[in-house]
Amino acid sequence: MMLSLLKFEWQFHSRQWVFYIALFACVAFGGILMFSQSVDSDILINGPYYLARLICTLAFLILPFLVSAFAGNAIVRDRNVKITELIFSTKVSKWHYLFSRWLGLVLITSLLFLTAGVGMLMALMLLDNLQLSIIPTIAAILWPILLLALPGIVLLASILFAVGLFSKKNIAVYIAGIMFFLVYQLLLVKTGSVLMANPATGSETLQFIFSLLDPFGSAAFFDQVKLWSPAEKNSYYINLSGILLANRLLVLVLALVIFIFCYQKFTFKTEPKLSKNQSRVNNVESSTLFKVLKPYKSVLPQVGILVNWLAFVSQWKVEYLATIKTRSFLAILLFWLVILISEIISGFAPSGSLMPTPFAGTIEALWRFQYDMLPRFMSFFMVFFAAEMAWREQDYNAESFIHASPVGNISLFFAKWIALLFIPFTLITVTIFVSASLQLIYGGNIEWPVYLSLYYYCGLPMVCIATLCLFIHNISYNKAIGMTSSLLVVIFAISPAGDYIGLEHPMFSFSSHPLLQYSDLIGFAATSDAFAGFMKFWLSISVVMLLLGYGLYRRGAMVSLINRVSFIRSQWGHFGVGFFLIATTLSSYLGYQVYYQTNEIAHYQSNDDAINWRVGYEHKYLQYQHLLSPKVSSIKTQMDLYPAQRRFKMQAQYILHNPHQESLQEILVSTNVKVDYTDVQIEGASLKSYDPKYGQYLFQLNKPMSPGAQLNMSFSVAQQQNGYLGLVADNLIVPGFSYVRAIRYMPLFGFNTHNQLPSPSLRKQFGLAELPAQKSLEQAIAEQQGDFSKDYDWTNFETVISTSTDEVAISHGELVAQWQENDRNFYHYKTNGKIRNVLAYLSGRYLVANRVVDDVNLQVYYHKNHQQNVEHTLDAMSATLKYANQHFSRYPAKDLRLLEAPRVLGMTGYALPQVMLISEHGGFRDDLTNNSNIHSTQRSSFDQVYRRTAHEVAHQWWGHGLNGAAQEGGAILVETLAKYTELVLLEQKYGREYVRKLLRHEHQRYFFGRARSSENELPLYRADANHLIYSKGAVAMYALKEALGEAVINQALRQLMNHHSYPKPPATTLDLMTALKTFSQPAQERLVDIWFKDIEIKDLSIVSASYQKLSDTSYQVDVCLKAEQTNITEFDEPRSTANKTLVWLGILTSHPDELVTKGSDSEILKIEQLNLGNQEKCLTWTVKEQPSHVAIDPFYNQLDQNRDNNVLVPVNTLLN
Amino acid sequence: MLTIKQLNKTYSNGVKALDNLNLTVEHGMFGLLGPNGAGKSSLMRTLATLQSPDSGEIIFNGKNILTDPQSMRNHLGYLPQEFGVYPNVSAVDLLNHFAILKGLINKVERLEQVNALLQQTNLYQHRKKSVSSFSGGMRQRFGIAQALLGSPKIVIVDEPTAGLDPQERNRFHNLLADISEKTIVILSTHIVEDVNNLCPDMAIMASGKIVKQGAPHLLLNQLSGCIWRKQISKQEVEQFQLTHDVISQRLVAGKAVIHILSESCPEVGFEPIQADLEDLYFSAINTAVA
Repeated sequence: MMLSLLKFEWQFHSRQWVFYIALFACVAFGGILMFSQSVDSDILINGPYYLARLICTLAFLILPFLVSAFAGNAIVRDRNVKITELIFSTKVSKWHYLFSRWLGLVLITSLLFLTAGVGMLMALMLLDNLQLSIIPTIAAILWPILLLALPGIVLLASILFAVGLFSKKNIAVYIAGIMFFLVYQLLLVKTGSVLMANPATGSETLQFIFSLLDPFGSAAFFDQVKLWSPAEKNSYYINLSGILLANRLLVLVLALVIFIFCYQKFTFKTEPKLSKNQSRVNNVESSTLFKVLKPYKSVLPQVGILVNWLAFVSQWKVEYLATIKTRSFLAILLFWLVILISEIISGFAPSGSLMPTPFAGTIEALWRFQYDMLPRFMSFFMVFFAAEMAWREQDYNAESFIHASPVGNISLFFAKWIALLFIPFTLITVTIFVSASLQLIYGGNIEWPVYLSLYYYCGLPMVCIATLCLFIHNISYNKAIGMTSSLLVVIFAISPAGDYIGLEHPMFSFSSHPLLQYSDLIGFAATSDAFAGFMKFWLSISVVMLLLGYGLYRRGAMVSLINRVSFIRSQWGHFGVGFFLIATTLSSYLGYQVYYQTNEIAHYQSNDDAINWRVGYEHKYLQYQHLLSPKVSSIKTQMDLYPAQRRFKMQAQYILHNPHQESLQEILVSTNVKVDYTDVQIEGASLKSYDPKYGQYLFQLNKPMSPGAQLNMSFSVAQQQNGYLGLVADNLIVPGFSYVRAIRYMPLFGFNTHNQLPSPSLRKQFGLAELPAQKSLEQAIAEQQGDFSKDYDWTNFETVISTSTDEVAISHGELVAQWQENDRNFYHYKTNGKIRNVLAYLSGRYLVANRVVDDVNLQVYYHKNHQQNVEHTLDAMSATLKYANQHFSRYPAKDLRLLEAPRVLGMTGYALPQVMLISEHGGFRDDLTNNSNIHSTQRSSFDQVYRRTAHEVAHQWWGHGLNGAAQEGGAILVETLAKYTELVLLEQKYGREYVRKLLRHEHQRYFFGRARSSENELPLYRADANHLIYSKGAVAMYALKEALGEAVINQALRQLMNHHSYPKPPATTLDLMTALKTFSQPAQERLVDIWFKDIEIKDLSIVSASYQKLSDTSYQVDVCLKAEQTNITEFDEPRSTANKTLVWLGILTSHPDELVTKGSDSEILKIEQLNLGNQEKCLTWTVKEQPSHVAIDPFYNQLDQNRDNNVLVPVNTLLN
Repeated sequence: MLTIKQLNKTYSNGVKALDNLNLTVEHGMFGLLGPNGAGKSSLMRTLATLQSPDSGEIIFNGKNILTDPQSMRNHLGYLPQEFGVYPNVSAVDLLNHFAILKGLINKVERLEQVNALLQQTNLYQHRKKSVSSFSGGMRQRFGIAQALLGSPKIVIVDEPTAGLDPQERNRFHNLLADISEKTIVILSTHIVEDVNNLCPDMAIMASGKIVKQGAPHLLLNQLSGCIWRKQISKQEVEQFQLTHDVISQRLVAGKAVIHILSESCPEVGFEPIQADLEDLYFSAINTAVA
């Protein structure tokens, strides 16, 4: 019998049109996802790891929707068509009924998901630069589907089956599906999953729970492979063991439990559920009334505008309340509140290991939900509410009544529209209320104007989406088609899905606009101009759709669309036709405006066009690849910034010189086509050709430029910008803050390698030669005889920069003069000596704080409301300056400026020569009130202000002072040394226990980055990946500091500065290593090599620990421990002596994590360095107090893949 | 044989649908008459095991179906008052599916019975069309076809002829009469004529109780000589309603004709008439209200 029932289920599901749509969508999705993966990494996209990862992505993206689409049909269909009484009165058993439906659901969604795998396979076969063997690839796709996706389908099916079974409503199933989708993504973000683009190292407990409960096993999967190298990821399959096995079992058990629950609770009963307000009219009673009935009297109805208005108001109230008062709306609202509250709270009281505590400001709250979660959430649920609204009469079987009544279409239609608009209005209002309340609780300032602006910024796009959805429903044949179509359109509008099918241009995503994020310095100004432009356009289209929707209003059943089209004119009347013509003209005009701003002013280029442009450039100009070019030695500019108009104009005079041994005949000047160059002139040269498409000027010198000779060059450049393509981080001109980084727009000389296509697979596709591989450091040294001086790009710099009258302008060098002219502020800056040619022009509405330290004028430019941490910032600048002056080299300039930058730029800190930017959320808005008492238990936050400031100031030496060779490992000399400086400054201020927190964070980030990396790990001296140069570098430098001593490191760094600062030949990491070895003991030199040239990952562990009380002041502690090498890659020659490592052991009176917070209660009783190996070693110590914890490598001086076994509570063994 | 004892059911909004109901049904056609809201459908649904009563007993062929609903379902054919069907499924496929649900596992037997029932309900030539496209009458016939699947010992039909045209109603009655030779058929309706034509045993239900039960001719005997008729003007109706036990009032050629229940002649101008089932019905429910 089960088989026959299953056969019926298959026939039923497969005959629905949603089956065919889902089939097509699955194959397409799988194929497109596969197609869009980039082939250029060490991890093969057809290898088992990558395919499994893609399956995980597919699973969480499509399965919630897939299963909910069919779950309704599986179990709610009986209720929907009212066939329940027939079925329940047959003798079918609960088991057969429930299991056949459930299994049918599982089988059909599994089959459909399998076709997504087929889509992936097809795409792989079409990608032609892969060596593809079919059978292993099929296996590599099937295995994760079987292992990861299928149990997830089983669990998801059980959950949605249960929801459908007990709610008896399709909409509950859909809502549950969407909630699953959103919650799963939230969990992926919060646990720092590899699947998400923005890694956050989240709470470890949450990660553990998630890896046990994840329905698709992604967390356990990534945990299993986190230490695998790319080569291993390309050949090994995931195995069913450990946490993954536990997770799979747990998932299946959970599904079973849910099914059993359904089985127990379900009965074949169809009792009508009546609420207290409903009562089935008892006709028998009314028959007594019939004896004293009043006679029937007719009342004359009225017609006219007033009637339509009252009908509209009444109908609107009905529609609105009918939507709000449902369980679905309540559930959605509750769901949103839970997410919102948890997001805001985690913003105000973050719990990461290194999180600062921000002020509980409106801007902090907004950053948790305003630009992504709220719009997406509302968009999704608008689709539902629009469907409910549009088909309400049909659903309740009331359409005959309403449509036969004399109320005009205009009232009905607009009542629905307005009622639908009130839904996002309600949601926004609730959000504002909750957010403001939370702010109050956390003691922050509420900025009501910003909250009120949410109605504009978040509400208007919803108006468009609401109108679109209603329109689609009006022309759809039934509710399901309408809902699917509007869901598809909304998905295209709010996600980059459109890019994959060629609909890249922003005007294809209805209701979309460039990202809007808020900053105290500039508000929404970075993109609010574009928002307004786009909204005007979308709203005008909405008006057109409103008119069409009204004109095609579906009154009465079964009036086909074609029929209704012929009635439009009469529906509209003359007014309507006029409106329609005006609206369409207006939208064309506004659309043209958006197009103009996007394409002409903002220079929009589709992906393909951008690629073709690069290919074209290379084909045309590669011939100049070896053309020798002059260098810039002096730059003088007049830069005029117009923040209110979002534009700048600049006149520049360059002095060029010929650094080569040969003379130059031609000079090729490469300019950026996105700004407007005029009057490009070179002294003594004539313009041979100008290529506007690529911005290339080819000059022919009248007389050859001899070696060492100089020439003047001048040009003007101007730019008008807008926010239509979003914000460009280093080219932003808005009232309140302007930042123009010259390197982006200033002319370059010779063949411009930045214009080449970087991707090897694309180059092959377009017939371009392979790019020369990055030479290894050793090769490069050999080729250039160790002298990379030609990498240098240093220049004298002088500028007169002007800005609006309420702002101050900043650039590099000493402020020679400042004045006012024509209602604008002018500033004249000049450097005394050359600086690196990384120049910027800045302006903002700032207050300035000054301090003179070591003859240097330290300045902090800050927003008038953000003065809380300014003094502390100056303290950090001062301490770092003094330290570096003393230990590294003398800071060469008279000024050092630090500017507060808007958060929307997307970076926390950036250092330019003599000028630094630190984001408003990178320190200015941290709450350091608990910071003063270093041992306060309330201090869970970290002093990021001090840390970041020290780091950026350090870059004045590491990067702008010592400008290393542009070769492998060059980044180490910039970032790793800055991390070192940051560490020693923090230790100087707060002590070693405090710095431990930072090291722990960096240690975690290294492993995290390594797990996500798609490249083979390079040794530190050649590294450039972030998790290496920042995190591994930090651990390495601190470990070396502990081993060699701070004085040794500083001596080495001083030598580096002395021997390799400009204009001396630039340094490489080998020079750093040599310097370190110079000043260290011979026995320690090996350590330098190990950290910089090898990759060593260990597993240090305490096997057992116990203590005995010998007397009140004497305790004996026995510890057994070992140090295993789990992963060693040695370059050069083998170094590990008998696999032994020097490791610290600590005996403490508290857990090492509490060293800072517990103050004097927490103490290190003993700390000792041991030589440990693979073999377990047992040792004994005596300490003077009762120990509570024993810790191996408590200060993170080693890379230890498993820190769980590093701390142990010793067992008390009593003396006998 | 079906025995119902002391059946009680009160819904969550306070409406008492079944009030200490007692009923016995032997084989053959049994008519259950009553106004809307009397509790007929509640009773039907309880018998069909779709609803649980608050208290009471229902014994069918020796088994208490409240504790063992499966014993009822194994022999039950149920045609509810309202039902829908899956879209895009043909009559033969859907009937086949129901046959499976009713335990007709043997494919040959099943197909045979399905085809036979389709012919009996005159749906055979439409068997490949989707049931959702059937007219009201055809759908009702499909409903009775599925109720007759297997070999039900008790068939419960709830308001089966509402919405059927006269020809269909006749056909339906004949079909029911055929079945009732071997099974219990409980026909619940408010159309007095149907009960009149078909049922050798009947009951009248009002306000959750059985107010009259028995063979129709015997019940009518109780009323002989108690029904009086008079033609009056519309304005007088109200006055008569206050002073006499008016059991029905209708219009004949524009004039009001009232029937009165009375042991003896109520007044000058009234003529005695032979009580018919309608009079029985009206008098029963009026008494129940009073």
